[in-house]
Amino acid sequence: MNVREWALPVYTILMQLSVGTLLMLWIAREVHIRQFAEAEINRIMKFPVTIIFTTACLAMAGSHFHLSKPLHSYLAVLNFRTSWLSREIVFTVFFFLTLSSMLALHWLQNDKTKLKTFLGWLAVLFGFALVFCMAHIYLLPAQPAWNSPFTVLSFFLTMLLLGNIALPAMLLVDFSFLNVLALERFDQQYLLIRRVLVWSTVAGAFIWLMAVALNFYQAWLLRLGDQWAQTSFELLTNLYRPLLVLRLGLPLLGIVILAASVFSAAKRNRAIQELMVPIYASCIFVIVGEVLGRFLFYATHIRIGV
Amino acid sequence: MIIAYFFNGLCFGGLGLAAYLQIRQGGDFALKKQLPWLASFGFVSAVTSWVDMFLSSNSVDEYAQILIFARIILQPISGLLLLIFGWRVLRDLTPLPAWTVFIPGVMIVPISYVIAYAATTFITPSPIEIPIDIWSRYLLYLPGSIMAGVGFLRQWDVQRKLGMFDVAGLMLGTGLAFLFEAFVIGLVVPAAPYGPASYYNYDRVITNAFYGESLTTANSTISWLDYQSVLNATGVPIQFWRMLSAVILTFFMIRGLGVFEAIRKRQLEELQNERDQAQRSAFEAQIAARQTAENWTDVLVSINRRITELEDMDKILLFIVKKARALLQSDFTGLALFDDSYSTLNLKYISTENKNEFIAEPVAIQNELILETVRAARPRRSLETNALTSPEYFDFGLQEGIRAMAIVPLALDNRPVGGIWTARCESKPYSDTDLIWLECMADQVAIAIQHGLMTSHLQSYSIAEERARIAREMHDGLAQVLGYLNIEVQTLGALLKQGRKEALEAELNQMREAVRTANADVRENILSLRTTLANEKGLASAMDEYLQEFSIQTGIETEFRNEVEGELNLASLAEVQLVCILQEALANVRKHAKATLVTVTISRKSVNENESIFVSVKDNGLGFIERNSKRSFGLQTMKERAASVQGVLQIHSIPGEGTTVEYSFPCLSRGKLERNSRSLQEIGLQANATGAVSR
Repeated sequence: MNVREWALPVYTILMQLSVGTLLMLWIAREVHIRQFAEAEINRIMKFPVTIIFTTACLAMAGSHFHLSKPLHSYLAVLNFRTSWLSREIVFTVFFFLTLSSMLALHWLQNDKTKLKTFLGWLAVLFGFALVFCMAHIYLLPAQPAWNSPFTVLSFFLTMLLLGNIALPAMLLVDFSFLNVLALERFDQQYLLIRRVLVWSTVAGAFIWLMAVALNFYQAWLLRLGDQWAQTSFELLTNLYRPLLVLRLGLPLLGIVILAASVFSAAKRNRAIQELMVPIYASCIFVIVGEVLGRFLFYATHIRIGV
Repeated sequence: MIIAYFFNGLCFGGLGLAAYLQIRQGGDFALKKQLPWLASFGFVSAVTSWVDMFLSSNSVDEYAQILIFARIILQPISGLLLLIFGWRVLRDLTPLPAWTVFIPGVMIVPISYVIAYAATTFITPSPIEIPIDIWSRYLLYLPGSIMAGVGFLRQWDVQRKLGMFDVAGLMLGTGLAFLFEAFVIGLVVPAAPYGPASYYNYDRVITNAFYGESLTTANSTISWLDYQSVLNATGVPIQFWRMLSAVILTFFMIRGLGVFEAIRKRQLEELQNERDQAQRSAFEAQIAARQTAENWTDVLVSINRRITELEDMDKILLFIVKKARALLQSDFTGLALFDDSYSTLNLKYISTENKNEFIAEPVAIQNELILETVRAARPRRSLETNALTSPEYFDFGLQEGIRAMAIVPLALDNRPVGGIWTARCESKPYSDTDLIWLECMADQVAIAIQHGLMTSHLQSYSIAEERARIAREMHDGLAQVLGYLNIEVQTLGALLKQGRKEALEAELNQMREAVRTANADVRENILSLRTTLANEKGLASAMDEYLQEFSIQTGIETEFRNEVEGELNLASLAEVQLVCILQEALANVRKHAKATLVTVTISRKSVNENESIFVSVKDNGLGFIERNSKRSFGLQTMKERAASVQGVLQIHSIPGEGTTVEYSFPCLSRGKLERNSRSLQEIGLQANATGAVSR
């Protein structure tokens, strides 16, 4: 893969990261919105929403690198009725606009909690549509390695795994910054992060298991498929075997580190600020694993015909 | 090439050795915690360079695989050590601003992509050592060197602002050396078909930046940060630049280590100076506190002496007020006492800078603060700095408003009798210690008042007792004689009528004897009345003069032995009783003993650390057998007198061998004064040492 081809993993992974993190963030928000004060929950959401927005911007900027004429990218929306790519672009724009509105609302309005809730779920909905369309682009009869509904499922699992692992890191960065400034005590935010850490560990392990099972099943399908599919299988298990091991092992390592640090923090009653390094490390391992997975996705496909 | 590798290893080895020696030398400076990483990096890098040297020499082919394997292991370790060193230098050498806490979080995604991208390059056909070399440089050396460089550049900025330009120069050099190293060691890598060592040329055209020539090529990747490019651009191989980088870096780091040590020594010297200064200040404060306590003690002792010497109460109280103002550095001190009805608090004594006087005309205190404090019977000091103006101060010469005040109520037998207060015109509040000292003064005022009242009662009692004694003496002596003379006169008249001349002469002789005895009694009483304790030369001297006068009047030889050095230190009441008992004893000698010599001895004796004044009155007269009779009434009186002042009186008499009267009184004054003095000094020192005493 060269630079232009790397633009695809950048776009797809970062966009899935944005949607997944927003989904997890909004679930956590929904659970705690009645327990926390309105101003407090809005304040806690401000930084993660900003980071999600920034990630989406990076994803959209990165997507243009694989276009020959980036300035003409807007013309892609004209084929909405027939093209999954056009639908992906349209939903990307919808997701981005909804996210932008919500971000502006968080920075400009301290109240309007219900509107923020609505916009958040709307953005999540557009995000789901975006990921769905993104996955459907690759369901091509000429690409046996991709042409399966499990591709859609694997994209959603990646979205969930990335969002699940990125949310604690985002919340922790914000919390650490506030603690460095020593502005005041943030007991509710502390409580939220502790809960999110536990949930992320459990959910991460579950999602990883599903992703591994799906990967093996997809590989098994390739092995049983036609000659092009078997060629993809050969590439995956021979040339790219080290990367396949890393792709499966690194997310597991990340989740184990996260679980160990959460367990250690609970047992020794450590402050969550001390978990920054292991949580960042686990986040990096999971993202690297998913980027490698996407690399393998693109690298192992064999096209039938011209 | 071999030389370049050799010197490269030599420089890094020297760097590691310098850091190691600095660790061994000890010290506590900013870079110390990072030195083990630097030393490790230096040693591992040196070994790596020398491995490169052997590999480039092609002289050890049989060990080539081992050397290559060693290099594969050592190079990432070296890079990792530099990365850790750089991170710690950046984080710890100069505190990072708060916003930098975002950097690791923000870098998660880019780092993840770079790592993933690096992982994909390992599946290219090139030997494994090539991607290891390349990614050790990109992922470890490059960020490590940049972080160390930025860390030292930030320290350069700090030192520059502190005005330490020599140190700042070295920090700048070290920082730039690390950045230079970041380029030559971290960014320039062996040729590889992937970025950033090479880039994919979509246009299939190479354009020469200098000459503008364009060449069409079929090769899709173009190298631009590999060794060959550096050789083409500079004319010397990258190994030379790396050697140069190592030399510069080692030079600045070794110099920098010395500078850090120098900074540490300078800081230690400053700390030592600060500590010395603090010690001096504490010592001076201690001396000042001791001096203050001594001053207060002297004043308190002086007040006690005046009280025991029965000085006039007004003078004593005025003295207290005056000294309180002086010692508390006040502008005004006043003492007010309630009138007889306890309804009005009248200002009685004042002290200002210009006058110290007793206020004859009562001035009723109107100040609410003083009145409240006296009524509440709790000391108080004002904390606020607002002026507490009150007419009472202006009447006595103060032109400014009072800005600080301390008030202490006076009480006798738990009953409020008045208050003493002191005030300043400047905004310098009184401390808790000041309040304690003022309370001590208030105690002295109460003692003086109580002592004055007691002395007054005692004088009344003494006068009454003396009148009774004179009446008794006149009744027993002069009245008896006059009655006797009356009878004798009648007898003489009868004898004269009868013409019995011999009997008449005999009666006349008896009358003459009776008159002589009465005359002696009267003279003795006059002597007793004339003898006072207010002798300027002291009690012992007064006793000596009395004995001499007694000897002249009675013809009985007297001897006075004073074995006491200095003051007797008896309570005033004890002194009175001492003289009274002596007079009584001498009167008995004159009347009954028929003695020719009386010896009076006065001495000091100590029993169980309690001192007493011991008096012995010894005659060489007839002596007597003590019995309970009317005659022994005078002896009983003497014992009672002694007992009234915690004294003891004993009489030893053997018929024909004379009589000895011995009595002793406890010395109260000295012991009490010393104890008071000690306790006051301790209170003063303690209060000044702690700075404040909680109430």
